[in-house]
Amino acid sequence: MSEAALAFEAASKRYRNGTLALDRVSWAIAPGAKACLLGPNGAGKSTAIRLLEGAIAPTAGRVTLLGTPVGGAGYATARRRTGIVPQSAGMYADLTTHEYLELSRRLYGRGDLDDVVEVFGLGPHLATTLAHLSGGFQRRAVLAAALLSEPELLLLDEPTVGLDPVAAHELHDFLRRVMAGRTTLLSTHDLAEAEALCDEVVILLRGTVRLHQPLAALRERVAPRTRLVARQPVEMLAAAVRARGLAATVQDGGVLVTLDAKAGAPALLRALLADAVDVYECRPIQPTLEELFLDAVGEGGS
Amino acid sequence: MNRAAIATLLGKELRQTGRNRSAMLTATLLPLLIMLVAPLGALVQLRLAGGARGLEQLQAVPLTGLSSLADPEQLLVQFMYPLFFTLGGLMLPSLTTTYAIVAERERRSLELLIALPVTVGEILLAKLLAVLVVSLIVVLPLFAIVVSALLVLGVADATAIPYLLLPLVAALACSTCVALLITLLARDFRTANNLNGALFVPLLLLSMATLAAVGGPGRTAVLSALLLAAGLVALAVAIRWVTFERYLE
Repeated sequence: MSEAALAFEAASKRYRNGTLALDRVSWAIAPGAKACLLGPNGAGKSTAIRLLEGAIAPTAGRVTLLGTPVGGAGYATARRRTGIVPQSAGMYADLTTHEYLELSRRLYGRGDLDDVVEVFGLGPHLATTLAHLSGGFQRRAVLAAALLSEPELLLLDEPTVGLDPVAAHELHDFLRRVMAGRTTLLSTHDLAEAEALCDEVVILLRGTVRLHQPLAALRERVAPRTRLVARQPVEMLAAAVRARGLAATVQDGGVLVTLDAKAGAPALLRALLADAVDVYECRPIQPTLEELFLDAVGEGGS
Repeated sequence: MNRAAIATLLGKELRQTGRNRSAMLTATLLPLLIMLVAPLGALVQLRLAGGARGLEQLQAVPLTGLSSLADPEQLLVQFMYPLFFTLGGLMLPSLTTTYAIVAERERRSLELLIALPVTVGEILLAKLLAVLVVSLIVVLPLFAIVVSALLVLGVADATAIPYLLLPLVAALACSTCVALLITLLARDFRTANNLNGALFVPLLLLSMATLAAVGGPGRTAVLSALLLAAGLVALAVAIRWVTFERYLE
């Protein structure tokens, strides 16, 4: 088995004010994985990122980055193989985009400035101070700084929070491109973003790991559903479905049936049509990550 | 600690400080008044007055450091000038640090640095080195002008150079260490300024009392030792008990 790209081994973090942000958590991300770190506010996501970037030390247990214990010998090298996009950082009013990228290049000890400038379209903004860039370009600059050294591992801490939909969409395009072939841990509140960019989910809740699964396996946790729409009123359709012993709920002008479409829909459709219920739409419904998340943590996050 | 990283961060800090007009104005104006205008003004005033008005009262004070000063110009060189330089040395780093470090924390731009491959210790060390560099660039020319004036006017001989330089350097070192402690404790300008005042006044009173109480040419050496000890205590409290993690909370 290959070494984990990052790992928490019974790691705890208690802050000086007594807050237990992480409580003996153990989880790891394999090389090449694209994992999202989900959880409500105060779940411990930012603490996890802070521990990985070496800004704080665990109170107990161990955290490793690219096989190296954080803060131990060799960590500095592992850190230079990791690109980090921080959460809504303040921007310098007295440092230009070029100076910031050059600072990043020097600290990483390598990187092609011209290359990232071209990829992220920062050419016209090199002489602009970071604080005077638009929100979208600020995130591009930060992403460019994180990717200058061609890192193997990317840690993204809510990279699109606060951006308008257009800028967020543009950044997602960039992220899709740069995440290809790289191990990525994306901490986010945006479930649609996580669903679009990741294939593995870690859910933190009150400092503990509630769930860590591939997205596909997580989907299997939720009962399969099929959506039906008929010419008759939805209540009549729902009653006809329920009469056949199936659970049905009315939603958005249709009926959601707890049923695997491939296995059960043909028989159900034949029966409904035979009863003169004119079904004209039948399609399987993939549970959204939001539904999976709520299923995993409970509606109230309890 | 990665020296190359610290050097890179130091360059960034110096560039940013140089671009900040208010920081530069604060960094130069106050020392200019305290370390150049005040000392030379006092000397000129004394020469113009041509006497030792008020010296008798000072000599009557039962403190060795003051009562042993028979010559009014020696009162300036032995007591007032070390006090001026100590005052300048104590004030400058704390003011510059407030801009360099507390401002970064307040505006959350620190997050950008933490995301790069550097440690919090390296970031803080680079900032404090930048504060020291700026302080030295400002105070050393002022010190050189005042000491040159003393030598040219025959008020002091070459032994005045280490006598006056020692408390200045010790005050800079002390203030830089205290600034680190303030940096870790203060989350905003207001708190930093309050803490600066709370720590600065006792240090200033300590300096005055030491210069007044200790007699002879060793008085600035004693003062310097006390300032360095105070700086080391602040450094130990900052690193051992307050810790760098507080900077990120």
